[in-house]
Amino acid sequence: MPKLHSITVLTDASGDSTAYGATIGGRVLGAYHDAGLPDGVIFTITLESSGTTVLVDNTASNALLLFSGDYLGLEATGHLLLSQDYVAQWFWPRRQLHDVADGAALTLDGTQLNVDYVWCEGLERTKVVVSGGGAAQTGVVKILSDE
Amino acid sequence: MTAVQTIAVTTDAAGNATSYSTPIEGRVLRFYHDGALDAGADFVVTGEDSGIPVLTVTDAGAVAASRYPALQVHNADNGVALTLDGLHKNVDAVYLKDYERIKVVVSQGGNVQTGSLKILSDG
Repeated sequence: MPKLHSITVLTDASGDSTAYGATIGGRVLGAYHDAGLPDGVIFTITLESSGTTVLVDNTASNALLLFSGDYLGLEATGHLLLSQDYVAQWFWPRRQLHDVADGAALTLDGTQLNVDYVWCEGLERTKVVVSGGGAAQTGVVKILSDE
Repeated sequence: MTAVQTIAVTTDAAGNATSYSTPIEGRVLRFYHDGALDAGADFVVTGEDSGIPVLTVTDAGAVAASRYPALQVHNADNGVALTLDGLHKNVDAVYLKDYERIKVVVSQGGNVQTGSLKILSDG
């Protein structure tokens, strides 16, 4: 039966934090972060002893789009700031599979990943590393797993 | 072994209702409603404690229908939502935490209307 664990993340003055969750086992079914940390935060969630990646979410980061060229006869250069809203979100992380015959990473069609669950090695704690999270901010991460 | 439960829904004068299942285990396999509410009824189905989204359907009150909810999965390495072919979602079943109730919020269901929902789950 799936278990849900919460991990509170408190960043230091540099906006960084490392926090550990409860010991889990089996499959990681889902991962969640709230919107308690500022835009630009990067979450890296792994399993502590195996180092297996559960989720890297840097999709809340701002992106800078540079452009230059001829616009309506005018030479122009500049940039656009593409800011993705940082919102509370559930993720359903999966890892790419590999061919038993040769270890090649598998796809469905040459491009799209062929994936399966993230599995724990026995029982492991979850480790949450946050960077760019703002000074002394608090966020919440949740992990849904088999055990 | 799967389990099915029936939930009665009665909307208030504003057409709203909130109902709960009994606690379930594992996956949510099917969500059914009997089509007895107003045509504009919206359903928002979540896990009560986890807030995990199970199903959102709009303008779906007047037609009996079963739906089989599935969530789009994400690449563990970067959080990107995965597709099968660049267009069609790569999905998996919806899991809730153990013994979590399912919460069904109905809006625009009509003035004091009664309908019936069925939820099929792993247990």
